[in-house]
Amino acid sequence: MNLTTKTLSAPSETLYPGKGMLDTAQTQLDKASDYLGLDEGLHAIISQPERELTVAIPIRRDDGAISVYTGYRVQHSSARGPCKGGIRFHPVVDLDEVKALALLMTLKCAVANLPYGGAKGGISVSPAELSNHELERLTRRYATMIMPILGGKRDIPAPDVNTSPRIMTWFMDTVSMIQGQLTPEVITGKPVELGGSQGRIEATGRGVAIAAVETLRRLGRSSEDIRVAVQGYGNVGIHAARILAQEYGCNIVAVSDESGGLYNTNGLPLLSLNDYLTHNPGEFLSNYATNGHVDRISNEELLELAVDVLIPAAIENQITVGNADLIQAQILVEGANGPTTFEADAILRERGIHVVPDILANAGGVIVSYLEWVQDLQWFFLEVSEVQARLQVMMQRAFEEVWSLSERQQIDLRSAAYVLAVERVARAIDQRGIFP
Amino acid sequence: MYTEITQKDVRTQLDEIQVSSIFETSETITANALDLARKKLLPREQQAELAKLFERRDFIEYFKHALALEISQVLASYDQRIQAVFLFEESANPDAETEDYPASVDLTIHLLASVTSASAAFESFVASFDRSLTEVLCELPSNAFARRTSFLDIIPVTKKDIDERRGYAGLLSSIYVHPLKIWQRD
Repeated sequence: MNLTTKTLSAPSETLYPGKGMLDTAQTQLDKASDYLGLDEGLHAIISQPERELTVAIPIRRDDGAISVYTGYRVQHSSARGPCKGGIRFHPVVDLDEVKALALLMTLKCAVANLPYGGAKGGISVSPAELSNHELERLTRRYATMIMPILGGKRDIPAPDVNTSPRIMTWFMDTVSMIQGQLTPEVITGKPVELGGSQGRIEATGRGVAIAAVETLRRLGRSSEDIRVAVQGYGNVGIHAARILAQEYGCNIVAVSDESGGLYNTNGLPLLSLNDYLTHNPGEFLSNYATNGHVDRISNEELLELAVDVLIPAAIENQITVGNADLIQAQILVEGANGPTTFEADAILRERGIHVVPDILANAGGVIVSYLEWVQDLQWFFLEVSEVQARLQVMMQRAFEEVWSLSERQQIDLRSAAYVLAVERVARAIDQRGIFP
Repeated sequence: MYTEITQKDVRTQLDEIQVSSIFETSETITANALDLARKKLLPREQQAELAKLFERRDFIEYFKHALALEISQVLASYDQRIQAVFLFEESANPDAETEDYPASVDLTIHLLASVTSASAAFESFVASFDRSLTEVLCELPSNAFARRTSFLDIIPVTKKDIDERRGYAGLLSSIYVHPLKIWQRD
């Protein structure tokens, strides 16, 4: 095995080639393997999921009819620990998609140095077309059918698209009933009352905030009065903004949702804004009464503001060739998954903008999932302050490792994150050896 | 009895919608969506008062989904340039390892309308439709609806937008979460 890294100049391509999902994930892996000069055999092992399970899930409908749905669970790697990854309920779920997402989970857990491999699962179904009782029956039957490969030390699912804490609870209850004992460690994302973790709701946003502050520190800048714009004022963006302002003294000058954005060069009244959204759930920012103290801007304008830190925390593909040249931020922290297109990433790199990649920046969520699992295994539950402190240490360490590799190898942070992840997985496989 | 909510359930009379009757259309599709959502419940639950039903997250989700199907029909009837309509959730994070399930249902109906070409008239129609629909929905017995000033987030996307993954059109080549196709022109 050869894990010696090559000395590289800045790569001419990023790890986002803009192909189909499985191709994209595979190409990310291939590029990182090339950087590492990875042994062909090890590359072959990492390139394929360890295990793929497809199940035909019959349920009795409320009208007495029987419907059969297709479900999947793919375990990409268990080299570094139990497999970890969400379960999604969506009509277009297929095996290729689940395989790609399982691979990405392996890499994400490895970047954060969690003792996990990667997995993903799902059922090809539109939950809105099922009644509540049908959804419960579907979840419980699926849990039963994939149970042979699950377990707190084998594979630990979590929520994903269209799956909620309620569904996670059905899942845990099903496994517990069959095993004859309560097994909260079999799944994460549970309600706090049933073994979920404190601090989970803000976890991703807190991780994003930490990533932003760590980047500033590496660039020799204090976080005090740093100007920040947040695109996507949802579950990630709202917490990232609040934490950056309250705990690090940053100046949040702009935020946006799908209705548009709010901007004040001297800083937004976050307390008032968050209070408005708390009392008007689901309401748009555009309906917030600005009393003339705040300018209304579009999402596009927000991305192009003269700020120090830009946090795209909405959806994919927001930074494109169309606006990459107009980004004025020095630092871009990817709170969302895949907000920067392949082509735009190259432009930002050439312009010297520091992009903290999604795989690192939004790892706070899976880190707190790990903490939930650890608490469940020990039946010892942490206070929110303890969860926050541990999250901070783990995010800072992950960031330092990616940053250092980036500096040493003179590669961008995204490439460094993938190289670090692949190296860790490969090393674990190599150290464990090939059984028998 | 249980009835599956699918596009075929949506009344075909909507094909004949006149723009001038947009308020009546809003009332009609809201009533249809409420009926369809009730049918998702157990028989003994279906007769409950609407105010009680709107306290249930599952009922709101069923209603929202049914309403989205109805709205897609209205849009397609109005504008022949619409080739398909996709439903997406702004708050649905792909990888809920990184985001928690939203505490409340996002009442906004987010749609991507695949169009052969952009049109100011379409955007004007959507704005008018949103106003009418909001007026109707605000009368529903739920504080969550009463406070809202808008319910529609309809984004027209062209083939070029989709090919170049511009803006929200990029969702259609999403690596993490796909919008749900709820209507397609034959």
